[in-house]
Amino acid sequence: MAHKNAQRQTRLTAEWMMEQYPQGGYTLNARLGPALDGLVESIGLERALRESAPWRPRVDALAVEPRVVVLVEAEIRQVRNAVGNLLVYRNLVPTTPELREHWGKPVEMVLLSPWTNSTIDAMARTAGVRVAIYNPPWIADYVAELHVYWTKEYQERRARKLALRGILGVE
Amino acid sequence: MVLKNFVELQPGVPAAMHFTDHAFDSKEIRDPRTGLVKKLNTLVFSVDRLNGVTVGALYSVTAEKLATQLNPYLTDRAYRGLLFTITKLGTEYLTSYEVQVSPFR
Repeated sequence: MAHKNAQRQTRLTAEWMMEQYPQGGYTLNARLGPALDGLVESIGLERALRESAPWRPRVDALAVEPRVVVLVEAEIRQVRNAVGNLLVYRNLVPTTPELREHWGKPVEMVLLSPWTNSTIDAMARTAGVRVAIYNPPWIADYVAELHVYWTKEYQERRARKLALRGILGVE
Repeated sequence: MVLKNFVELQPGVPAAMHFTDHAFDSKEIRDPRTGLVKKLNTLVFSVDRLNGVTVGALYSVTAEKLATQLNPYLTDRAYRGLLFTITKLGTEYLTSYEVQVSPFR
């Protein structure tokens, strides 16, 4: 489930970025933050960044515009979490060597999701995060199901479905 | 690096590629851990520029996550106007990909 959800978020980000920046000029799954402690001194910046790659935080997308650095974090289920992640990522921009020439630019934080609510909107507004809603047809059914998951009717329907699967012996 | 006209990514080393065409393929590989043969669906791109050099190579995408990242550009072969700098991050189960999308000039 987590794997499939991650794939959905990856697709959501890729599609939205392509729509926003049809000419390119952005990075998907972009590394942020410095290299691991001590590595730069011992092996140089380029190799240190390469060796540190698996341990550096990654934002779903990053675009460098003439006047602003844009960070995009996609979230479908735990949408509130993305607000906190973006605040952390924003603070990493001035420590990211690949962005050195853009350290002086303001950072725009964008929460990308197929849905929102007043609580999330308020949280985002307080944190200075812009909420971008992108709800393409391929995800609409999943989002609708997500919002009824905890209802009694859905739980009963799901229990019947699982029981039937057990009787039929299918996974 | 290009090996026998196939682009192979090295961890942490960016490869800037321009794609001219794509196709889907499936092949059987032997899993190095289990020794079992499994079927692998791949997204294959024709590459005519690699790190600024003219080539005639294929780049085969087997990772589902990377295929998902590249999938939106397949429509109308939108990738033809773009340059993709792909960096493989980590190895085995920790592998992910950073994909930089730039205008192709």
